[in-house]
Amino acid sequence: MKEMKRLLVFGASVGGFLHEKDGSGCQDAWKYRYIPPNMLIIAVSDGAGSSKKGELGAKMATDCAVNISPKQNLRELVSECVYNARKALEEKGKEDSIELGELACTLIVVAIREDKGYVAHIGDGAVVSELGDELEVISEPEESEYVNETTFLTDEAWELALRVREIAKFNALAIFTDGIQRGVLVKRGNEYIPYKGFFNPLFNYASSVKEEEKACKEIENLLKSEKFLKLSEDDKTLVIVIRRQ
Amino acid sequence: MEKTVEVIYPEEPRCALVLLLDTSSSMGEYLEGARKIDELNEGIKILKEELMEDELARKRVEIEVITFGGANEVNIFHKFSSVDEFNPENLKAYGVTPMGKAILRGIEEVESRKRYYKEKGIEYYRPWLWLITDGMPTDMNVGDDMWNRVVREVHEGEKQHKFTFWAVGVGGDEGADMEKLKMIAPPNRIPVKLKGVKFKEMFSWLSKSLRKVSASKPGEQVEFGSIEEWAEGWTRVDRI
Repeated sequence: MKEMKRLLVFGASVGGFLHEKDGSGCQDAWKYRYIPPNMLIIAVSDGAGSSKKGELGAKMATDCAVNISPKQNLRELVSECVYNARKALEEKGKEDSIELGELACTLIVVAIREDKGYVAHIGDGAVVSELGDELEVISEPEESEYVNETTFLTDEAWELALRVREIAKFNALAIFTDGIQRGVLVKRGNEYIPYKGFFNPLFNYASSVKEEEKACKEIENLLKSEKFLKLSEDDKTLVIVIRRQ
Repeated sequence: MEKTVEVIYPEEPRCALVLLLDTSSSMGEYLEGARKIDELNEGIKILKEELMEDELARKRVEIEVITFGGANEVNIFHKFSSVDEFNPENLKAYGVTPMGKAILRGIEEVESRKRYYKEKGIEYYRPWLWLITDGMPTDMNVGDDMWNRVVREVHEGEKQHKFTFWAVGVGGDEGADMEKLKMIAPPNRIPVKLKGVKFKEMFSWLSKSLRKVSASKPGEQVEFGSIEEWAEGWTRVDRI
Protein backbone atom coordinates (compact mmCIF):
# COMPACT_ATOMS: atom_id res chain seq x y z
CA MET A 1 0.00 0.00 0.00
CA LYS A 2 2.70 2.41 0.97
CA GLU A 3 4.63 1.74 -2.22
CA MET A 4 1.59 2.31 -4.43
CA LYS A 5 0.67 5.59 -2.88
CA ARG A 6 3.88 7.07 -4.11
CA LEU A 7 1.93 7.81 -7.24
CA LEU A 8 -0.96 10.26 -7.06
CA VAL A 9 -3.59 10.41 -9.81
CA PHE A 10 -6.16 13.12 -10.31
CA GLY A 11 -8.11 14.56 -13.20
CA ALA A 12 -11.50 15.41 -14.64
CA SER A 13 -13.67 15.11 -17.74
CA VAL A 14 -16.01 18.00 -18.53
CA GLY A 15 -18.55 18.49 -21.30
CA GLY A 16 -18.02 21.12 -23.97
CA PHE A 17 -20.65 23.79 -24.36
CA LEU A 18 -21.86 22.51 -27.74
CA HIS A 19 -22.67 19.21 -26.18
CA GLU A 20 -24.28 20.75 -23.14
CA LYS A 21 -26.44 22.92 -25.34
CA ASP A 22 -27.91 19.93 -27.14
CA GLY A 23 -28.00 17.95 -23.92
CA SER A 24 -25.67 15.15 -24.88
CA GLY A 25 -23.48 15.60 -21.79
CA CYS A 26 -19.86 14.58 -21.76
CA GLN A 27 -18.51 11.97 -24.12
CA ASP A 28 -15.03 11.85 -22.61
CA ALA A 29 -14.26 9.35 -19.86
CA TRP A 30 -11.32 8.42 -17.68
CA LYS A 31 -10.60 5.72 -15.15
CA TYR A 32 -7.67 4.48 -13.12
CA ARG A 33 -6.88 1.49 -11.00
CA TYR A 34 -4.14 0.55 -8.56
CA ILE A 35 -3.20 -3.08 -8.83
CA PRO A 36 -1.30 -4.25 -5.76
CA PRO A 37 1.46 -4.37 -5.02
CA ASN A 38 2.84 -1.63 -7.25
CA MET A 39 1.02 -1.14 -10.52
CA LEU A 40 -1.07 1.76 -11.76
CA ILE A 41 -3.23 1.76 -14.90
CA ILE A 42 -4.97 4.81 -16.33
CA ALA A 43 -7.30 4.95 -19.32
CA VAL A 44 -8.58 8.08 -21.06
CA SER A 45 -11.08 8.07 -23.91
CA ASP A 46 -12.89 10.54 -26.13
CA GLY A 47 -16.24 9.27 -27.43
CA ALA A 48 -16.98 10.37 -31.01
CA GLY A 49 -19.28 13.37 -31.03
CA SER A 50 -21.95 12.22 -33.42
CA SER A 51 -21.99 8.49 -32.91
CA LYS A 52 -25.09 7.74 -30.93
CA LYS A 53 -23.34 5.74 -28.26
CA GLY A 54 -19.98 7.53 -28.19
CA GLU A 55 -20.44 8.25 -24.51
CA LEU A 56 -21.12 4.59 -23.73
CA GLY A 57 -18.16 3.58 -25.91
CA ALA A 58 -15.75 5.82 -24.02
CA LYS A 59 -17.09 4.70 -20.64
CA MET A 60 -16.87 1.00 -21.51
CA ALA A 61 -13.45 1.34 -23.13
CA THR A 62 -11.93 2.96 -20.03
CA ASP A 63 -13.66 0.57 -17.60
CA CYS A 64 -12.54 -2.50 -19.54
CA ALA A 65 -9.03 -1.24 -20.29
CA VAL A 66 -8.13 -0.98 -16.59
CA ASN A 67 -9.85 -4.24 -15.70
CA ILE A 68 -6.87 -6.51 -16.33
CA SER A 69 -4.80 -9.10 -14.50
CA PRO A 70 -1.26 -7.87 -13.96
CA LYS A 71 1.64 -9.47 -15.80
CA GLN A 72 5.35 -9.00 -15.83
CA ASN A 73 5.81 -7.51 -19.29
CA LEU A 74 4.41 -3.98 -19.16
CA ARG A 75 4.58 -3.42 -22.89
CA GLU A 76 2.42 -6.48 -23.48
CA LEU A 77 0.12 -5.52 -20.65
CA VAL A 78 -0.63 -2.07 -21.97
CA SER A 79 -1.53 -3.50 -25.40
CA GLU A 80 -3.68 -6.10 -23.71
CA CYS A 81 -5.62 -3.31 -22.01
CA VAL A 82 -6.47 -1.90 -25.44
CA TYR A 83 -7.41 -5.37 -26.77
CA ASN A 84 -9.68 -5.84 -23.75
CA ALA A 85 -11.43 -2.57 -24.48
CA ARG A 86 -11.85 -3.40 -28.16
CA LYS A 87 -13.22 -6.86 -27.33
CA ALA A 88 -15.70 -5.40 -24.86
CA LEU A 89 -16.98 -2.93 -27.45
CA GLU A 90 -17.30 -5.70 -30.07
CA GLU A 91 -19.32 -7.79 -27.62
CA LYS A 92 -21.48 -4.86 -26.62
CA GLY A 93 -22.16 -4.15 -30.28
CA LYS A 94 -23.29 -7.74 -30.88
CA GLU A 95 -25.30 -7.90 -27.66
CA ASP A 96 -27.26 -4.72 -28.39
CA SER A 97 -27.32 -5.28 -32.18
CA ILE A 98 -25.71 -1.94 -32.85
CA GLU A 99 -22.96 -1.15 -35.28
CA LEU A 100 -19.53 -1.05 -33.69
CA GLY A 101 -19.00 2.42 -35.19
CA GLU A 102 -21.72 3.79 -32.93
CA LEU A 103 -19.46 3.14 -29.96
CA ALA A 104 -16.58 5.02 -31.62
CA CYS A 105 -13.97 6.41 -29.22
CA THR A 106 -10.25 7.07 -28.97
CA LEU A 107 -8.19 5.42 -26.23
CA ILE A 108 -5.02 6.18 -24.30
CA VAL A 109 -3.82 3.63 -21.72
CA VAL A 110 -0.87 4.28 -19.42
CA ALA A 111 0.59 1.52 -17.25
CA ILE A 112 3.22 2.31 -14.62
CA ARG A 113 5.18 0.05 -12.33
CA GLU A 114 7.85 1.62 -10.20
CA ASP A 115 10.15 3.49 -12.53
CA LYS A 116 8.84 1.92 -15.72
CA GLY A 117 5.89 2.90 -17.82
CA TYR A 118 4.25 2.32 -21.18
CA VAL A 119 1.53 4.06 -23.10
CA ALA A 120 -0.76 2.55 -25.75
CA HIS A 121 -2.68 5.02 -27.87
CA ILE A 122 -5.28 5.10 -30.67
CA GLY A 123 -6.50 8.38 -32.15
CA ASP A 124 -6.00 11.94 -31.00
CA GLY A 125 -5.21 13.33 -27.55
CA ALA A 126 -1.67 13.07 -26.11
CA VAL A 127 0.62 12.22 -23.17
CA VAL A 128 3.26 14.66 -21.91
CA SER A 129 5.91 13.90 -19.28
CA GLU A 130 7.96 16.11 -17.00
CA LEU A 131 11.36 15.42 -15.46
CA GLY A 132 13.18 18.27 -13.85
CA ASP A 133 12.56 21.15 -16.24
CA GLU A 134 12.23 18.89 -19.26
CA LEU A 135 8.86 18.48 -20.92
CA GLU A 136 8.42 15.74 -23.50
CA VAL A 137 5.54 14.54 -25.69
CA ILE A 138 5.53 10.78 -25.03
CA SER A 139 2.61 10.00 -27.31
CA GLU A 140 1.37 12.57 -29.82
CA PRO A 141 -2.04 12.96 -31.45
CA GLU A 142 -2.44 10.66 -34.44
CA GLU A 143 -1.46 12.31 -37.70
CA SER A 144 -4.50 12.96 -39.85
CA GLU A 145 -4.89 15.39 -42.72
CA TYR A 146 -8.26 16.80 -41.79
CA VAL A 147 -9.23 18.33 -38.48
CA ASN A 148 -12.42 16.26 -38.26
CA GLU A 149 -10.76 12.91 -38.87
CA THR A 150 -8.96 10.47 -36.60
CA THR A 151 -8.79 6.70 -36.03
CA PHE A 152 -11.02 5.12 -33.42
CA LEU A 153 -10.76 1.95 -31.39
CA THR A 154 -13.84 0.76 -33.29
CA ASP A 155 -12.30 1.25 -36.75
CA GLU A 156 -11.25 -1.70 -38.87
CA ALA A 157 -7.68 -0.42 -38.98
CA TRP A 158 -7.43 -0.01 -35.20
CA GLU A 159 -4.54 -2.46 -34.80
CA LEU A 160 -2.49 -0.62 -37.41
CA ALA A 161 -3.23 2.65 -35.64
CA LEU A 162 -2.20 1.37 -32.21
CA ARG A 163 1.02 3.01 -31.03
CA VAL A 164 2.92 1.75 -28.00
CA ARG A 165 5.63 3.92 -26.45
CA GLU A 166 7.91 3.55 -23.50
CA ILE A 167 7.75 6.20 -20.81
CA ALA A 168 11.23 6.99 -19.55
CA LYS A 169 11.88 8.28 -16.05
CA PHE A 170 9.38 10.97 -15.07
CA ASN A 171 8.19 13.11 -12.17
CA ALA A 172 4.80 13.83 -13.62
CA LEU A 173 2.59 12.89 -16.58
CA ALA A 174 -0.33 14.67 -18.18
CA ILE A 175 -2.81 12.66 -20.27
CA PHE A 176 -5.43 14.61 -22.19
CA THR A 177 -8.00 14.49 -24.98
CA ASP A 178 -8.49 16.40 -28.19
CA GLY A 179 -10.57 19.08 -26.46
CA ILE A 180 -7.52 20.73 -24.89
CA GLN A 181 -4.77 19.47 -27.20
CA ARG A 182 -4.63 22.57 -29.42
CA GLY A 183 -4.30 24.87 -26.43
CA VAL A 184 -1.37 23.06 -24.80
CA LEU A 185 0.70 21.67 -27.69
CA VAL A 186 2.42 23.82 -30.29
CA LYS A 187 2.70 22.24 -33.72
CA ARG A 188 5.87 22.95 -35.70
CA GLY A 189 5.89 21.08 -38.98
CA ASN A 190 5.01 17.55 -37.95
CA GLU A 191 6.32 17.92 -34.42
CA TYR A 192 4.37 18.74 -31.27
CA ILE A 193 5.99 20.80 -28.54
CA PRO A 194 4.50 21.05 -25.04
CA TYR A 195 3.56 24.63 -24.21
CA LYS A 196 5.54 25.65 -21.12
CA GLY A 197 3.08 28.36 -20.19
CA PHE A 198 0.59 25.61 -19.52
CA PHE A 199 2.61 22.64 -18.29
CA ASN A 200 5.05 24.40 -15.95
CA PRO A 201 2.37 25.96 -13.71
CA LEU A 202 0.27 22.80 -14.00
CA PHE A 203 3.04 20.46 -12.81
CA ASN A 204 4.09 23.02 -10.25
CA TYR A 205 0.60 22.87 -8.78
CA ALA A 206 0.57 19.07 -9.08
CA SER A 207 3.73 18.74 -6.99
CA SER A 208 1.95 20.43 -4.10
CA VAL A 209 -1.12 18.16 -4.19
CA LYS A 210 -1.83 16.15 -1.06
CA GLU A 211 -5.39 14.98 -1.63
CA GLU A 212 -6.51 13.44 -4.90
CA GLU A 213 -10.15 14.36 -4.45
CA LYS A 214 -9.52 18.05 -3.94
CA ALA A 215 -7.13 18.10 -6.86
CA CYS A 216 -9.77 16.49 -9.11
CA LYS A 217 -12.08 19.37 -8.30
CA GLU A 218 -9.32 21.84 -9.08
CA ILE A 219 -8.77 20.28 -12.52
CA GLU A 220 -12.51 20.26 -13.15
CA ASN A 221 -12.72 23.97 -12.33
CA LEU A 222 -9.77 24.65 -14.59
CA LEU A 223 -11.37 22.83 -17.55
CA LYS A 224 -14.64 24.65 -16.95
CA SER A 225 -12.95 28.05 -16.71
CA GLU A 226 -13.42 30.77 -19.31
CA LYS A 227 -9.89 30.15 -20.59
CA PHE A 228 -10.74 26.61 -21.58
CA LEU A 229 -14.28 27.28 -22.73
CA LYS A 230 -12.88 29.78 -25.18
CA LEU A 231 -10.37 27.22 -26.40
CA SER A 232 -12.83 24.70 -27.81
CA GLU A 233 -16.44 23.67 -27.63
CA ASP A 234 -15.38 20.05 -27.29
CA ASP A 235 -15.40 17.80 -24.23
CA LYS A 236 -12.17 18.02 -22.27
CA THR A 237 -10.25 15.55 -20.15
CA LEU A 238 -7.01 16.11 -18.28
CA VAL A 239 -5.46 13.52 -15.97
CA ILE A 240 -2.24 14.03 -13.99
CA VAL A 241 0.03 11.41 -12.47
CA ILE A 242 2.61 12.65 -10.03
CA ARG A 243 5.39 10.84 -8.29
CA ARG A 244 5.39 11.89 -4.67
CA GLN A 245 8.90 12.68 -3.46
CA MET B 1 -4.35 27.42 -10.91
CA GLU B 2 -6.80 29.01 -13.30
CA LYS B 3 -4.83 32.20 -13.05
CA THR B 4 -1.37 30.77 -13.47
CA VAL B 5 -1.82 28.43 -16.44
CA GLU B 6 -1.83 29.84 -19.95
CA VAL B 7 -3.21 28.27 -23.09
CA ILE B 8 -2.58 29.01 -26.75
CA TYR B 9 -5.49 30.00 -28.92
CA PRO B 10 -4.71 28.48 -32.30
CA GLU B 11 -6.07 29.73 -35.61
CA GLU B 12 -9.53 28.49 -36.48
CA PRO B 13 -9.45 25.43 -38.74
CA ARG B 14 -10.42 26.31 -42.32
CA CYS B 15 -13.03 24.85 -44.59
CA ALA B 16 -12.29 25.76 -48.22
CA LEU B 17 -15.02 26.01 -50.85
CA VAL B 18 -14.31 26.52 -54.55
CA LEU B 19 -17.27 27.50 -56.71
CA LEU B 20 -16.73 26.49 -60.34
CA LEU B 21 -19.26 28.62 -62.19
CA ASP B 22 -20.33 28.38 -65.79
CA THR B 23 -20.54 31.93 -67.19
CA SER B 24 -20.97 30.93 -70.84
CA SER B 25 -23.49 32.83 -72.98
CA SER B 26 -26.32 30.37 -72.31
CA MET B 27 -26.27 31.40 -68.64
CA GLY B 28 -27.57 34.77 -69.87
CA GLU B 29 -30.73 33.15 -71.20
CA TYR B 30 -34.12 33.11 -69.52
CA LEU B 31 -35.52 30.06 -67.79
CA GLU B 32 -38.94 30.08 -66.15
CA GLY B 33 -39.11 33.86 -66.53
CA ALA B 34 -35.74 34.69 -64.97
CA ARG B 35 -32.23 35.15 -66.31
CA LYS B 36 -30.11 32.32 -65.02
CA ILE B 37 -27.04 34.48 -64.40
CA ASP B 38 -29.11 36.97 -62.35
CA GLU B 39 -30.47 34.20 -60.20
CA LEU B 40 -26.96 32.78 -59.79
CA ASN B 41 -25.72 36.20 -58.65
CA GLU B 42 -28.56 36.46 -56.14
CA GLY B 43 -27.84 32.95 -54.92
CA ILE B 44 -24.20 33.79 -54.22
CA LYS B 45 -25.36 36.68 -52.03
CA ILE B 46 -27.54 34.28 -50.06
CA LEU B 47 -24.53 32.03 -49.52
CA LYS B 48 -22.59 34.90 -48.02
CA GLU B 49 -25.47 36.17 -45.88
CA GLU B 50 -26.22 32.78 -44.40
CA LEU B 51 -22.61 31.93 -43.68
CA MET B 52 -22.18 35.30 -41.98
CA GLU B 53 -24.99 34.42 -39.59
CA ASP B 54 -23.08 31.46 -38.24
CA GLU B 55 -20.32 32.26 -35.79
CA LEU B 56 -18.15 29.25 -36.56
CA ALA B 57 -18.73 29.09 -40.32
CA ARG B 58 -17.93 32.77 -40.58
CA LYS B 59 -14.53 32.18 -39.05
CA ARG B 60 -13.81 28.90 -40.78
CA VAL B 61 -15.20 28.86 -44.31
CA GLU B 62 -13.06 30.31 -47.10
CA ILE B 63 -14.49 30.86 -50.55
CA GLU B 64 -12.95 31.08 -53.99
CA VAL B 65 -14.86 31.62 -57.24
CA ILE B 66 -13.56 30.30 -60.55
CA THR B 67 -15.56 31.17 -63.66
CA PHE B 68 -15.45 29.55 -67.08
CA GLY B 69 -16.83 31.16 -70.23
CA GLY B 70 -15.76 33.91 -72.63
CA ALA B 71 -13.24 33.01 -75.30
CA ASN B 72 -12.24 29.74 -73.66
CA GLU B 73 -11.38 31.56 -70.43
CA VAL B 74 -10.97 30.23 -66.94
CA ASN B 75 -10.63 33.01 -64.37
CA ILE B 76 -10.16 33.23 -60.67
CA PHE B 77 -12.98 35.68 -60.23
CA HIS B 78 -12.55 35.83 -56.47
CA LYS B 79 -9.39 34.57 -54.78
CA PHE B 80 -9.76 32.54 -51.54
CA SER B 81 -10.95 34.79 -48.75
CA SER B 82 -12.89 34.65 -45.53
CA VAL B 83 -16.68 34.91 -45.77
CA ASP B 84 -16.38 38.46 -44.45
CA GLU B 85 -14.22 39.53 -47.36
CA PHE B 86 -16.27 37.64 -49.91
CA ASN B 87 -18.07 40.36 -51.90
CA PRO B 88 -17.86 39.28 -55.53
CA GLU B 89 -19.29 41.57 -58.16
CA ASN B 90 -22.05 40.29 -60.36
CA LEU B 91 -21.05 37.69 -62.92
CA LYS B 92 -21.70 38.29 -66.61
CA ALA B 93 -22.53 35.58 -69.13
CA TYR B 94 -20.84 35.25 -72.50
CA GLY B 95 -18.82 32.87 -74.61
CA VAL B 96 -18.08 29.15 -74.53
CA THR B 97 -17.87 26.47 -71.80
CA PRO B 98 -14.26 25.44 -70.94
CA MET B 99 -15.40 23.21 -68.09
CA GLY B 100 -12.48 20.78 -68.27
CA LYS B 101 -9.88 23.48 -67.72
CA ALA B 102 -11.97 24.99 -64.93
CA ILE B 103 -12.21 21.69 -63.05
CA LEU B 104 -8.46 21.11 -63.29
CA ARG B 105 -7.83 24.66 -62.11
CA GLY B 106 -10.18 24.16 -59.18
CA ILE B 107 -8.36 20.99 -58.14
CA GLU B 108 -5.00 22.81 -58.36
CA GLU B 109 -6.42 25.61 -56.24
CA VAL B 110 -7.61 23.35 -53.41
CA GLU B 111 -4.29 21.52 -53.38
CA SER B 112 -2.34 24.76 -53.19
CA ARG B 113 -4.65 26.07 -50.46
CA LYS B 114 -4.02 22.95 -48.40
CA ARG B 115 -0.26 23.44 -48.82
CA TYR B 116 -0.69 27.01 -47.60
CA TYR B 117 -2.62 25.84 -44.52
CA LYS B 118 0.08 23.27 -43.76
CA GLU B 119 2.87 25.84 -44.04
CA LYS B 120 1.00 28.15 -41.70
CA GLY B 121 0.21 25.34 -39.26
CA ILE B 122 -3.51 25.89 -39.77
CA GLU B 123 -5.73 22.83 -39.46
CA TYR B 124 -8.40 22.27 -42.07
CA TYR B 125 -11.41 20.31 -43.24
CA ARG B 126 -11.64 18.50 -46.55
CA PRO B 127 -12.23 21.19 -49.21
CA TRP B 128 -15.35 21.30 -51.37
CA LEU B 129 -15.51 21.84 -55.12
CA TRP B 130 -18.96 22.91 -56.26
CA LEU B 131 -19.52 22.90 -60.05
CA ILE B 132 -22.51 24.64 -61.64
CA THR B 133 -23.06 24.37 -65.40
CA ASP B 134 -25.90 24.70 -67.87
CA GLY B 135 -24.10 23.39 -70.91
CA MET B 136 -21.71 20.93 -72.43
CA PRO B 137 -17.97 21.28 -72.08
CA THR B 138 -16.45 22.90 -75.17
CA ASP B 139 -12.86 22.08 -74.29
CA MET B 140 -13.15 18.30 -74.17
CA ASN B 141 -15.03 15.37 -75.66
CA VAL B 142 -15.74 11.99 -74.16
CA GLY B 143 -12.60 9.90 -74.44
CA ASP B 144 -10.10 12.57 -75.48
CA ASP B 145 -6.96 13.32 -73.43
CA MET B 146 -8.46 16.29 -71.62
CA TRP B 147 -11.63 14.35 -70.81
CA ASN B 148 -9.71 11.37 -69.47
CA ARG B 149 -7.52 13.59 -67.34
CA VAL B 150 -10.44 15.49 -65.85
CA VAL B 151 -12.39 12.32 -65.05
CA ARG B 152 -9.31 10.68 -63.55
CA GLU B 153 -8.43 13.67 -61.38
CA VAL B 154 -11.98 14.08 -60.08
CA HIS B 155 -12.49 10.40 -59.37
CA GLU B 156 -9.05 9.80 -57.86
CA GLY B 157 -9.21 12.99 -55.82
CA GLU B 158 -12.56 12.08 -54.37
CA LYS B 159 -11.45 8.52 -53.70
CA GLN B 160 -8.30 9.66 -51.94
CA HIS B 161 -10.31 12.16 -49.89
CA LYS B 162 -8.41 15.09 -51.40
CA PHE B 163 -11.67 17.01 -51.77
CA THR B 164 -15.42 16.56 -52.02
CA PHE B 165 -16.76 17.17 -55.53
CA TRP B 166 -20.35 18.18 -56.26
CA ALA B 167 -21.86 18.88 -59.68
CA VAL B 168 -25.09 20.72 -60.36
CA GLY B 169 -26.65 20.86 -63.84
CA VAL B 170 -28.92 23.73 -64.82
CA GLY B 171 -31.67 23.43 -67.44
CA GLY B 172 -32.47 25.67 -70.41
CA ASP B 173 -32.94 25.41 -74.16
CA GLU B 174 -30.31 22.75 -74.29
CA GLY B 175 -29.33 22.72 -70.65
CA ALA B 176 -26.63 20.75 -68.89
CA ASP B 177 -25.73 17.40 -70.38
CA MET B 178 -26.53 15.33 -67.30
CA GLU B 179 -25.15 12.13 -68.84
CA LYS B 180 -21.74 13.70 -69.41
CA LEU B 181 -21.84 15.34 -66.02
CA LYS B 182 -22.49 11.95 -64.50
CA MET B 183 -19.37 10.56 -66.14
CA ILE B 184 -17.30 13.43 -64.74
CA ALA B 185 -18.73 13.48 -61.21
CA PRO B 186 -17.41 10.95 -58.69
CA PRO B 187 -19.38 7.67 -58.78
CA ASN B 188 -20.29 8.04 -55.10
CA ARG B 189 -21.90 11.44 -55.62
CA ILE B 190 -23.96 11.64 -58.77
CA PRO B 191 -24.73 15.10 -60.17
CA VAL B 192 -27.91 16.91 -59.29
CA LYS B 193 -30.25 18.71 -61.69
CA LEU B 194 -31.37 22.12 -60.45
CA LYS B 195 -35.12 22.71 -60.33
CA GLY B 196 -35.70 25.69 -62.63
CA VAL B 197 -33.65 28.63 -61.35
CA LYS B 198 -33.70 27.72 -57.67
CA PHE B 199 -30.17 28.98 -57.14
CA LYS B 200 -31.11 30.74 -53.91
CA GLU B 201 -32.46 27.54 -52.40
CA MET B 202 -29.39 25.66 -53.56
CA PHE B 203 -26.96 28.16 -52.02
CA SER B 204 -28.98 28.20 -48.84
CA TRP B 205 -28.59 24.42 -48.64
CA LEU B 206 -24.87 24.78 -49.39
CA SER B 207 -24.44 27.30 -46.57
CA LYS B 208 -26.30 25.06 -44.11
CA SER B 209 -24.15 22.10 -45.10
CA LEU B 210 -20.91 24.05 -44.74
CA ARG B 211 -22.09 25.25 -41.35
CA LYS B 212 -22.41 21.64 -40.31
CA VAL B 213 -19.08 20.60 -41.80
CA SER B 214 -17.18 23.50 -40.26
CA ALA B 215 -18.48 22.59 -36.81
CA SER B 216 -17.80 18.86 -37.13
CA LYS B 217 -15.55 16.89 -34.80
CA PRO B 218 -13.33 13.88 -35.43
CA GLY B 219 -15.37 10.90 -36.51
CA GLU B 220 -18.51 12.92 -36.77
CA GLN B 221 -20.65 11.97 -39.74
CA VAL B 222 -22.22 15.09 -41.06
CA GLU B 223 -25.78 14.53 -42.13
CA PHE B 224 -27.11 16.90 -44.73
CA GLY B 225 -30.65 18.11 -45.10
CA SER B 226 -32.89 17.12 -47.99
CA ILE B 227 -32.16 18.74 -51.35
CA GLU B 228 -35.75 18.29 -52.50
CA GLU B 229 -36.40 22.01 -52.48
CA TRP B 230 -33.94 22.73 -55.26
CA ALA B 231 -33.01 19.43 -56.88
CA GLU B 232 -35.01 17.41 -59.35
CA GLY B 233 -35.88 13.80 -58.70
CA TRP B 234 -33.18 13.11 -56.18
CA THR B 235 -33.58 13.93 -52.57
CA ARG B 236 -31.06 11.97 -50.64
CA VAL B 237 -27.50 13.11 -50.06
CA ASP B 238 -25.12 10.63 -48.53
CA ARG B 239 -23.24 11.51 -45.44
CA ILE B 240 -19.63 12.33 -45.98
